[in-house]
Amino acid sequence: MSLPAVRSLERKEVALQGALERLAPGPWAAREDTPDGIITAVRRLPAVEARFAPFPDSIDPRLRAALERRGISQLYTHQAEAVAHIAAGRNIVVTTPTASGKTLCYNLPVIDAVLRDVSSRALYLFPTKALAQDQMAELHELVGELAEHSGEQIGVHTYDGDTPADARRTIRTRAHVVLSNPDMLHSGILPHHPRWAKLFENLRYVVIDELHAYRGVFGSHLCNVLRRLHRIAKHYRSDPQFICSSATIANPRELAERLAERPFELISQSGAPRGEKFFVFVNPPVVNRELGIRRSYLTETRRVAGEFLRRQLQVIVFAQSRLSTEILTTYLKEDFEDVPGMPELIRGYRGGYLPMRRREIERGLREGLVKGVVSTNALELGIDIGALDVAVLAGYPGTIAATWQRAGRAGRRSLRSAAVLVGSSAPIDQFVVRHPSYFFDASPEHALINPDNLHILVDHVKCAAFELPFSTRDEFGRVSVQEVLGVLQDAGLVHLAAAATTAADADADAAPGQWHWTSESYPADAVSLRSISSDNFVIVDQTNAARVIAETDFTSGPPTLHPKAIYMIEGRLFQVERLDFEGRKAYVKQVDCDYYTDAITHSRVAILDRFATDARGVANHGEVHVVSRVVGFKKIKFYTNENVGSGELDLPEQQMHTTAYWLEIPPDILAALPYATDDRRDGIFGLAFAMKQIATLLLMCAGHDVGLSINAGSSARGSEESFTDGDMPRIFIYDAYPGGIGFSEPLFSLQVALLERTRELIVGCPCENGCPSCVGPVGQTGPLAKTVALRILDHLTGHELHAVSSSPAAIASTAEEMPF
Amino acid sequence: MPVNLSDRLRQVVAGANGHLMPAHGVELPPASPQRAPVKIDGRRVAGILAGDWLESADGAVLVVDRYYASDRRHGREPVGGIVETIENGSSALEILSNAWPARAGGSYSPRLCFFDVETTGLAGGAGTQAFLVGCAIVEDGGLRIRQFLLPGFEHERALLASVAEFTAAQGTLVSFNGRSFDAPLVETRYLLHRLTFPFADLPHLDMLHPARRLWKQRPLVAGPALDEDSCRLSVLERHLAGYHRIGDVPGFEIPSRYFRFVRDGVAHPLEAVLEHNRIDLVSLALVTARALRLIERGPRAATHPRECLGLGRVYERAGVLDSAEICYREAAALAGRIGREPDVQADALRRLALLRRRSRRMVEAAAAWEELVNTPGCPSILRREAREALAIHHEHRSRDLQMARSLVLDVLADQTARRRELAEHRLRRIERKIAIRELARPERGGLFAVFEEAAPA
Repeated sequence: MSLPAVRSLERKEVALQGALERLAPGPWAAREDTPDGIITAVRRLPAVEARFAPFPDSIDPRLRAALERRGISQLYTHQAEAVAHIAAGRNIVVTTPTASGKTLCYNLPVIDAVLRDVSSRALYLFPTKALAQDQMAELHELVGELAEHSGEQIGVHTYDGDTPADARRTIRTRAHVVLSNPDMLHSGILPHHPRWAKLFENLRYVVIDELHAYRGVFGSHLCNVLRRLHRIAKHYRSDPQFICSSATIANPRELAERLAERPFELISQSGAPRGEKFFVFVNPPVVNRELGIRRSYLTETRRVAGEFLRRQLQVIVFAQSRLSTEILTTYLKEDFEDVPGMPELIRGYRGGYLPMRRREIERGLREGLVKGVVSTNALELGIDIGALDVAVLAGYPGTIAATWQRAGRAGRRSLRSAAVLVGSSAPIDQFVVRHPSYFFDASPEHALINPDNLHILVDHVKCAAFELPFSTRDEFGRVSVQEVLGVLQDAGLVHLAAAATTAADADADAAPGQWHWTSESYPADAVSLRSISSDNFVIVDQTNAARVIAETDFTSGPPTLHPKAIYMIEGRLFQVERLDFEGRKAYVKQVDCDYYTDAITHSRVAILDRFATDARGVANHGEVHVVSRVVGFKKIKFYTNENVGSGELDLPEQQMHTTAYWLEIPPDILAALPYATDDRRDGIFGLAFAMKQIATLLLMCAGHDVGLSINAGSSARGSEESFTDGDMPRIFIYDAYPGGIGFSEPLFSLQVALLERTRELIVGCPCENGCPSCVGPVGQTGPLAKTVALRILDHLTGHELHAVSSSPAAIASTAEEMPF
Repeated sequence: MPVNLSDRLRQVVAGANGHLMPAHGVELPPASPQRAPVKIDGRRVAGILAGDWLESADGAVLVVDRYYASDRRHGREPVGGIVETIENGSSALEILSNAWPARAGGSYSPRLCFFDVETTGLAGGAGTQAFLVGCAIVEDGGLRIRQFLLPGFEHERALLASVAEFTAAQGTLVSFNGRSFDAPLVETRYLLHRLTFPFADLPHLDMLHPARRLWKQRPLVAGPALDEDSCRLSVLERHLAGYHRIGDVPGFEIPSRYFRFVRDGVAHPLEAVLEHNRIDLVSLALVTARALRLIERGPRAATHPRECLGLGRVYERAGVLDSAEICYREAAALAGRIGREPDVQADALRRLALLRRRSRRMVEAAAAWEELVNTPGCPSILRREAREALAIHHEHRSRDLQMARSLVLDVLADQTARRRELAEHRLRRIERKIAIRELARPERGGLFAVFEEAAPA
């Protein structure tokens, strides 16, 4: 290492130290968490030494030489472990951190296999096209090196919607490694498998990168796409091994096994070195205690990022939306206006920017030319931007896994780095910044999928039947596929024919029949992997000439596209002028306003089937029928989140069957509370509001993935009647997708944590009578909502004996009860 | 409330979004008992469709064989005439194979096999079946049509084997849009069964491309106003031979007729599908014959300036440039006489000029551009191109700078023209040259004075 480089490293160490001192003065070594402060936590993650393993002898010497020329003369232990498992024929999932050399875990065995046998093929799946492009650039360097020194030509190609038609034919037959995405596999490759015979006949490896991205609806779809892949591979007599990489989630192995329906080995111990890292939690100060209003987290983020940028440290700021990305970029550029040349070195980055511009920023980050970047989650996944000095997270990314992944963007192998999380006033953010141990000490979330959701499964049975006839003995998923096919036959989509009696495979016990696709349609076209039903609303902009600017899935249509709704796209605001419900179109015009809208949805839930009840008889999960209707909307001012108006709506009902978790509040508990019926009802609403926030936190899902419905008793408001058993107050947290995507059962099993965490959220909130960060804004819940909600929780969680007030001592340590 | 799996499935399958519709609106199809595969009675089907039921180890195939004798008419055209033109068309075929080379290489051999496939869908992919493969070949002065019908999905290998056997004896495949649709689709079927694709080694002439050159946008003389752009077989057969289909099964109905046959064994609606396929094959032979005859006889056989222009394009593509030039000249002259086809006239003159320029006959090229500029009703974009070409010609070759200048000014006079800066740049240069020429006159001191004056610039 040259001398100036050492100096610059030393300078960075000093600069980082200085910025941290300024943010969080005092000794950090044994700093206690201070939930009520502005800096709620400073944690030090110690440096880790590299652990190396020699190259396995099995690796082809040409590949080894190529790697050595690229400066890789030995492997990290996890890479060697991966190679060993693959050599033994096992499937693996690797969960080592960002920048630990995860890609080599799959590139090594794949390229090695091609060098041994040129017919070998591998299929890589990435959740986005950009990631595939990025990975291709890296692979190209390696195969270019091989071609130059050993003359081996290894074809590496991306295959996605952007691939030119004339290149496709060559890729289908020549590419050794095809880099694609699940959507393309689903609609462009599997239905055309005869043209891909070369690939499928020789398919040795399937690589799935960013495995944790496949949860919920997307994961449930991917599992079915992989079931189709297995069928086709079997048809071509191949049986590929799976190599997956994932961010740190609680159940990577289980997720891999559920997705691929194969046994997996987990590699979680990284051998890569890591520099010391500081993680700081910042909670913007309260500016209005009564209403629970804090200073804007964007302003706070601006201040924090400025401290680092001022000291010449390279910073990445993660914002929660495209809008806040643009706002923060503008703020930071303004802050450095008087430093010549500096504003140009601060860039924004998000989806919607042209690829050339994105590549330029990525390169600038790698080469250190760009000093600061404000990004959406677009840079969270594995795009190569090198390692920066500091990551500042404006708002909690929603999951522990994503937070670690974003924080991991800072941190060179031998240098100190820092990550700062600035909480917003959203309940989840408040919970996390005020309870740092939830983040630092608990395991991250479980990724859940439900591939046997009938709506999803049936779609893929259609696609599979199109690709290859099902025999009457075939299975597909855990539901009887024969029964599915029988129903599809009644709908005229498939037909049961006799099995082919070919000379080629005339085995005596051939299946009696085969189900053939008998429809003109191309079923994959009607199935989007990112949503559960293909029905959707399109958004037509009529500002100038009418043109379609976006689409949204059917379920989220009414709440986001009702008349007068504000629809946002890339920072531009549109108002819905008319919703053509039957025609599935929303006509919008561009507007300039300072508010957005939030729909008020009324839903009724009827219990169809109770699958389980806990020992105390309060928590349940089962199947429900949900009828929901958007009845009105609120206008909410940007930044302050003030309610500035409302409107009523008359839209058709939507119905679905789904699964739900629900809490039944025993009438005797309510009756024992010394409050009026109205206040009790407010308490239930407040409790439900808070529970839903915690549920999304525990389930690692987005807010719109679960719905909330409250049955607070049918007695009219203001009546003095007590609750009768017939209208037992219930809080339903239901899966917002028809058929359910698998959220309710885990929520049921997590219910102790759900109630404890909800209680912690409410107890820990410094507001007086409720605020948007706990039980909901005071104007919407009642004055006693917070108090009553807490009293109900005290009863349900067994705290009623010793706790009534909101003293911090009441926050019991419940970590050992966490059923993770 | 539905609780058992079958009812739930029915609800999911009923309509794209049965689950989101009001519950009472959901009409569930009645559950039907699991049905055994329908057994198709081959002998009976063969009887209905008047074909032969051929069984092999790979399954069965229904072969329908018809002979269209030479005296049979297809519209105005006797089959014998079509066949004769095809049989004498080897030199024209040579021209076509130069214009649209066979992917497999080599030229189109005269043993033509017209082929057309009926499918269960247009999307392609593994789930789209080619259930009927029709072939037509020349035999004894007439057309022999052989159709291979898939009598059930389980018999596909047998169908593919029969088709491979039949086409193995043929010289060239001729299709209409077959290179991009029929052939890839059939290839997929062979690939799926991991059989060798027999068309891979056969030259394949797709008549859609020559037909587009020759007859696209040809306005119909008679009959109701048809889509001018239409180059469908059913339109071509009407205006080339006056053939009108009666009771033809519409294309969109074909898959459902076949599905009904495999599902319920109902064969008679397939008769119309077979007939539809046969008409397509004969019309394809007709279109091919007409194109060959035009190419054989040259521009004097063309009945319309547009056809003549198209013929020139075919010749040009094939590299027969002298014939192409004659066609363009004839087309322009013919259109000029008729006076109602300014776009044909302009296009022909433009191609003529480009062709001449390519063979370095600059003065002749300029003459064509000149004529194009003076064509009444000429599309403005072509006129601009012509003026620019002429300006270049006069600036650099004829050295008539004043003429060049006036042409550029004409170009600039058109306010709507794009890329004005290019013309402005040219204008400046021409004016500079004119000025220099002025200075270079002896009375102004001769060339030396010019250089002295021009040097500082």
